Amino acid sequence: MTKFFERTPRRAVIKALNALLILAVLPSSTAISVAVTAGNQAPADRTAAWADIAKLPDWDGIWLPHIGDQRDQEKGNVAPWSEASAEIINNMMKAEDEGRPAGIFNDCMPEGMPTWMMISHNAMEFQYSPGRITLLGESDGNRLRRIYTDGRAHPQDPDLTYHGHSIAHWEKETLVVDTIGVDPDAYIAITEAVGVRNGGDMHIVERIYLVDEDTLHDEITIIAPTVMTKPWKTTRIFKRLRGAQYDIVEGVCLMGMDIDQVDEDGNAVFDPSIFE
Amino acid sequence: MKNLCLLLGLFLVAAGIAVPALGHHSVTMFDLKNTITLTGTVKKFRWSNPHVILWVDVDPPEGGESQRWAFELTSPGNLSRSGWSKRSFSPGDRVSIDNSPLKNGKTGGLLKRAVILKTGEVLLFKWRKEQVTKP
Repeated sequence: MTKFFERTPRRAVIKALNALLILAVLPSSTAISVAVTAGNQAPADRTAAWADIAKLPDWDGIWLPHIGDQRDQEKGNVAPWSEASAEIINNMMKAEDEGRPAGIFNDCMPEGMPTWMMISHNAMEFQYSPGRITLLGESDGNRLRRIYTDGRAHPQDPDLTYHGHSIAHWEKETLVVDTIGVDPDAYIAITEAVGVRNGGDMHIVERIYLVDEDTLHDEITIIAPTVMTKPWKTTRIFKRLRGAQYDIVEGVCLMGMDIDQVDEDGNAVFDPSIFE
Repeated sequence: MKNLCLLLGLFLVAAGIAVPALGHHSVTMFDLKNTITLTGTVKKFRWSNPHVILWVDVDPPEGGESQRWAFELTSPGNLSRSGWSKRSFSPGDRVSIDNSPLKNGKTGGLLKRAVILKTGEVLLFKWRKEQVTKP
């Protein structure tokens, strides 16, 4: 075994493990089947497809991240960073501790995957529809995640996006989500001021499930051979609130300007060029 | 007009008045171990993302001119769930603000608790689900 690792480059081994992990999360047995066809086509029986939605676990309402637990995870569950990434991470943590946090999200680009699930301080909600679950966020760079449950495979050569391409299936009442195709510009962030770009070859597997009526766990496994020496598993906790008074509101990151602008016609306008 | 506004923005920075940062950012630029209480008059309440901002003309300790402070809060969504609204403050309100001030000495802080002096109303950000659902 030792000779195997001596001869075989580390990244190749991780990629092989990655491939095995993808096979492991392909749809196996599920207690819930939905009347949809793969590929986002119109379901053969639309009524049945929507009726099947009612059989899915109740994830209604809004979900608040457990911020205290996020803080505990920062020091309590350290990622297996590569040597180069560890140096970047440690320098950023030092700067943050000293009151000079890096503004890695100050440009208001999407936080993307896995960062949304890891460090958001704002609410999110799940929206079920035939063949898809859509995650909708609020501010903090949360935009939306489309998670396809219609049996499709990942594209062979996906366009890269901040939230990646996600497919999922149900294992009893656990949603198992597989995500690839994340833009290499997206951070793996462990705080708002500490993170590294994901290296371009990241693969994320999530197991999402209720632990009690109003507590959701997202077990996130990140495989990122360029920046980590091995897969990293970390869990994030979300707490449910129900009721219209807690509804998610619009959140546009770049709106926090303290100087009102008007155009030549006297209309109130938003002018981001003031920060250029 | 655009140039005038840019100059105003630069003036605010040069005058040492905290200009709010954009995006989801860390709060370690604030002295989180300390809380100071300041009293003053609301200048403006900015109910927008990503951070709600309350500007207060703080009373100087021994007379003289007031200082313009910027107090940062979380997002409108989070504050709404804690019972705040865009009408929680009006210009001219007399307020008392508990805050963690900026470490760099500029006139800004992370708002922890606000009291509207005329009515005695106390406003807090409740980020735990248990706090939010209590009456």
